Amino acid sequence: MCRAAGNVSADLPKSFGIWSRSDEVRRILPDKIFDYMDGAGELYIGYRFKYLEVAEYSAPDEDQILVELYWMESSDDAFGLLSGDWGGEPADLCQGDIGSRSPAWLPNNRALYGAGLLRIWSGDLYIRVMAYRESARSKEAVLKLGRLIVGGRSSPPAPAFLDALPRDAASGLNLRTDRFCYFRSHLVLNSTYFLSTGNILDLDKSAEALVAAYAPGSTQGNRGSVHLILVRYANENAAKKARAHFEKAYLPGKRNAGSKPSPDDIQIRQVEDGWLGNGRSGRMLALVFGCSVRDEAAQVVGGALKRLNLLEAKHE
Amino acid sequence: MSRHHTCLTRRDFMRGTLATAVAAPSLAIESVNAQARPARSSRVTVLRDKSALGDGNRVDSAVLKRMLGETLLKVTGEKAVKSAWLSLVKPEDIIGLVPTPHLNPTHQELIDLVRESLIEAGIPGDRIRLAQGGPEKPKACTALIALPGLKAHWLTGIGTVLKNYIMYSGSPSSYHEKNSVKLGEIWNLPHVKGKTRLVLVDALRPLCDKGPQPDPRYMWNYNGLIAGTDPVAVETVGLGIITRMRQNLRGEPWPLSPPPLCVAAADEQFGLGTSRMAEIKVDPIGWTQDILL
Repeated sequence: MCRAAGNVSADLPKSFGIWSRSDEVRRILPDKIFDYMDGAGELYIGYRFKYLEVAEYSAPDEDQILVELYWMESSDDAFGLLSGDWGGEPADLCQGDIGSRSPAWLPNNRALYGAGLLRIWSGDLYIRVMAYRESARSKEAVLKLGRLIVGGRSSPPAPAFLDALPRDAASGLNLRTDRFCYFRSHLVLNSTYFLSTGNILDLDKSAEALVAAYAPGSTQGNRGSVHLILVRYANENAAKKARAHFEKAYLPGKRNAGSKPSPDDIQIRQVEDGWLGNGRSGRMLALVFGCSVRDEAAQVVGGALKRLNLLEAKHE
Repeated sequence: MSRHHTCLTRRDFMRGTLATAVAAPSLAIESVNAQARPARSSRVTVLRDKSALGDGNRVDSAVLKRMLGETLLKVTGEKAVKSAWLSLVKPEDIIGLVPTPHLNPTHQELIDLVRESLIEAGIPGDRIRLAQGGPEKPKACTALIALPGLKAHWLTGIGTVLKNYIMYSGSPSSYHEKNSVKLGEIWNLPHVKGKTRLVLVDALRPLCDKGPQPDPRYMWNYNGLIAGTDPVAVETVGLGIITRMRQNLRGEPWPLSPPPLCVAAADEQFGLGTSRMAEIKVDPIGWTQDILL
């Protein structure tokens, strides 16, 4: 039975079934997260992270279940953490559908389970519930605990910025709906699509960004995926600087011959792994990598900028 | 130097110009000219036993002890475990064991068995210590045995052998982000250089994505030990196993992201060993199913 949505807290039950936890729930602030999880903490710091709560549940003759509640500044940040990996089986925790405001292609999943680990996006909360040893009983307990934690919490829609991602980026290039990520940090970008060891897109927590893979259709032979990166900066000046930084670091040398030196033009260059396009409109930046021909890169970036402009016009 | 000149890009990686790109003048590192270097040869032993992990992935210590002994014999070419250890370390050495301490830690059973085996070989127990931590740890040792767990790392691609000494730098944050490519530099610090006598990777239950935070979807029972005296060669073999497992899981190429730039840099820039499979002789022993070599 699903509970009505409304409250914004997430109570960790003291016990459920045969499982119980200790009285203390550890709270880990951002400056201590590396003590808790070494470099893994960079993932959470890369979003707008507030603090982490940790508890362990135990039961007779069962290995423990670890619960981690990552409290984020916004639902978008928690969504971003889930979007880093769309693998696993959808878990119905009575959170409701993604909602009509979300793009139609978006997976209707707020929770994913696999091999003992349940990952949940619940408003401004990202949750990991992990059984140290998976069994039928532990899976049942993990899912039950997930339902108890999210019960009654509201389920905001996915980030509006997702509307900027086209289902089809160009003729025969289809969005892989299990290969897109919402992020704010170049480290998160690199874990999905390696661009540079440096922050050459000047990303920070005031920006929001998407990276998505587009698979060529079956008629296009054995070519690899095309990757589209979209960034919305805090303001136009930040976007201008970021584009200049990117071009200097990634495309040293001349701009493509014949292009007008307009600040908002689309730049197309052939590089080691195919055709690369980048363009800016206002505070938005669009970049595409791995296109097979120049026109494809121009079409993808041009289409993306149109969608970004529409999004800005709607103030979303 | 501007920030634009100290970062590597996807294009550097695609061009294979890693060594040139890493060699920023400000790094004050000992450059190794890969072109002039003679051909090298390193051996890496991969020993597996199907019964190393039992119910609930619990370690069978008796099996692991046999695996450790066989691995030592193969790595050293000696006939007995005692002489194998004594070909690597001396009784007067202060020996530091360097496991992975935290997330996806080295199995305690392996650490205990290495200690026990060293003592059986005649090394006084008070000369064997845990040496994971800050620079004072290797400074107090004359020999090190690296005991990392095999895992992918979301910041560096792989987080096994080279990354295992990051605390020895005294400034681990100096090797984060774009500087993670320089992890091999730590192995050349005066208090570390030349002390590592054996690299013994715990590959009983590796992690092939999202490390170091455990995600059981990407952990599997490989039931193996990977060992050698060339840290880069051992890292390279482990990297191959992880890469093949990733492809098996997805049924399509799934390269590590970010790419493990630190491995080639450890070879080409820091001269720690070879990252070229053509120069690595792999000795597989034992269970062969899904060996991923």
